[in-house]
Amino acid sequence: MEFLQHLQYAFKIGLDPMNLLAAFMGCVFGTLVGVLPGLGPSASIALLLPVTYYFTPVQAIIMLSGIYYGAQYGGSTTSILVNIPGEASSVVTCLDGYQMARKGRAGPALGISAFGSFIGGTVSIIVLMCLAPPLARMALRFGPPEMFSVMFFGFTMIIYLAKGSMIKSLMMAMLGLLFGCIGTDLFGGGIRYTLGIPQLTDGLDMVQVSMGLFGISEVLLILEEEDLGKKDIQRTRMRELLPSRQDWKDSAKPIARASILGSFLGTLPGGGPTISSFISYAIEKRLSKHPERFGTGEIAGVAGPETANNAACGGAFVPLLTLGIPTTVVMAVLLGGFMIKGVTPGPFLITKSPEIFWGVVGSMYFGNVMLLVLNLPLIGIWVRILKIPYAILFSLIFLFCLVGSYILNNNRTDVLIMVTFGVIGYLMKKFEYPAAPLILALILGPQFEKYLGQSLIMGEGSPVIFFSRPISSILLIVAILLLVSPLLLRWGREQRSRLSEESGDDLA
Amino acid sequence: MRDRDIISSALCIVVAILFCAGGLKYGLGSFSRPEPGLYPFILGLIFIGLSMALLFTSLKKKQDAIRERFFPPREKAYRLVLSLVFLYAYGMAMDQLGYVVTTFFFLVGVLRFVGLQKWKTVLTTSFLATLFSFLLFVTLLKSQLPKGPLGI
Repeated sequence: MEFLQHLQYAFKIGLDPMNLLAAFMGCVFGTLVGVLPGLGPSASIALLLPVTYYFTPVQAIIMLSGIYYGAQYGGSTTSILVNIPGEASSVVTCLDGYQMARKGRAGPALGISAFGSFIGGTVSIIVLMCLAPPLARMALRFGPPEMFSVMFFGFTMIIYLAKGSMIKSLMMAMLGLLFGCIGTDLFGGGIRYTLGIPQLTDGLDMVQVSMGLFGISEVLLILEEEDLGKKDIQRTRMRELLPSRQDWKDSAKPIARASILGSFLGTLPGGGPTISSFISYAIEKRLSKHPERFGTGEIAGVAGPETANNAACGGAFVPLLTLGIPTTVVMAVLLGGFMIKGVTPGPFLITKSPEIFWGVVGSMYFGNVMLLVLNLPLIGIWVRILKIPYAILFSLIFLFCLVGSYILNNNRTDVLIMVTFGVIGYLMKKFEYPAAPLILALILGPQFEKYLGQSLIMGEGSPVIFFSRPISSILLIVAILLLVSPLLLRWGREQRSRLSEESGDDLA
Repeated sequence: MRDRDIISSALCIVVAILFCAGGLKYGLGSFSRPEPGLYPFILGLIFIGLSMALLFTSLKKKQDAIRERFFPPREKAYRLVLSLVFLYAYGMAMDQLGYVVTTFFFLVGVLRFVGLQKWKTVLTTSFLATLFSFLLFVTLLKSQLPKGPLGI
């Protein structure tokens, strides 16, 4: 009964005309972002954050959320038609989707991708509705030590699952926490590390940092590497748009599995659309009666990953809305969006601002329907947009970043800081340091310090307080084990190879 | 990658030392009564430790067999340098010249000298993009963007 009441409330807010319009704008822009390689949902949400000043909190969050799940739909279009993934979560779709397009089956590939995304998205919304209220109630019992430990655990997962070297990820997390110290100390009220720049008194704005790290740096890298000419888009005849009965039969189980997998993986820190799509592909290949067909145009290789990446979007909202913990970079940027609108996601969100929580949930239902309806007929338009040479497109991305950072506070210092972070982001990519831990740490840093300080005061200066409370101690122990596990594994491998050498010498 | 790791870890050590120095300046206090500098000081120490670990592991590695170029070749490097010049110039000039003029000339600059587009494309795209962004940000969204000496 409670579930139905919540659903009714969610639909009531979601059906508000202005909220529907916000969802529509988010979905369209998200799809466009997904179609265009190079501009991901993180950068796009960051670019649109200044624009949301003119919306109410509910409308703003609905629009930004729409960009997130809309981008997953759009990413599959270029993967299938051009063999260029629009988003990281659509990389796997290239493997079989493009092969289907080459065989003249782009229509069913796009169709099953859209339907699978819709089903996955819907299942994840139901998971969100079922999990979020009880999790929020449990989280009400969390004190500062538990909140600190949850954040620590979240950082650890992001670091553990980040690409490349773990030590570099840890370093970037530290740097992000240090950047978070710039400005006014929340605890003591002192001003730190502002270098005499008055605009830094309130700290670094994550909009400037995100636009610089993701938007500007990405463009700089592309300018360095590519020829900026027109992209060769393979013209593919779309004989039919809707999947056949056999396509549905082959896709039904992958879609069902991927919906559940993605929804739950999305709730985990470090999980999210990209990892969900990869794991789904691996599972479908393992379970398939014809694994050798994967990579040659197998529809299950499209249905599974595309369903999983959309399901993960809904799942990712669970920890964000109930605990205030973002589990991916995009969620971290979205958290910034909440804060700009004066909304604090966490255990009190459902009780103090139910219209925001249920508004997001309701709009996701309608957003998914809009995306399903939009994507198939508008494919021709998205393909035309892809034909805009990057030599022109990059200047528009620059312009959007510049104006977006200026209108935050009508201050040119913000623009200069944003460009500087663009240079930092470019150097980070060249030196192979991941940006995700940095941005997450920057956003959560002030809260992290606050909970640490409060916990130490509660424990009279002793860190034992973190291990004297069960939830906090479990989270911290798991996090510490994850951090030291690579060292332990390496030590184990060295021991094993030494033992096998010794036994080899004995035999000799 | 070895050389890049050595350079980047050394840079990180310098940054961490600066943060630690700042922390000392703001005062450390104690764990039960922390002052503003304690938290960044501890973070800085951890950052130094991690950077040194990376530095030492990189120094122990053998020199890379194939050394990849760090900076792009000259014909691509100029695009980066010019882009940054235009980006910073935009930030500096907007308050003086106004949004419309700065935006138009910025687009002309990047499209012509970085994107290497023909003048017809440069002028058309710059004009349309400036107009569209003006309508979006100023007319529709009522953003307070600066006006220059020409009143626009």
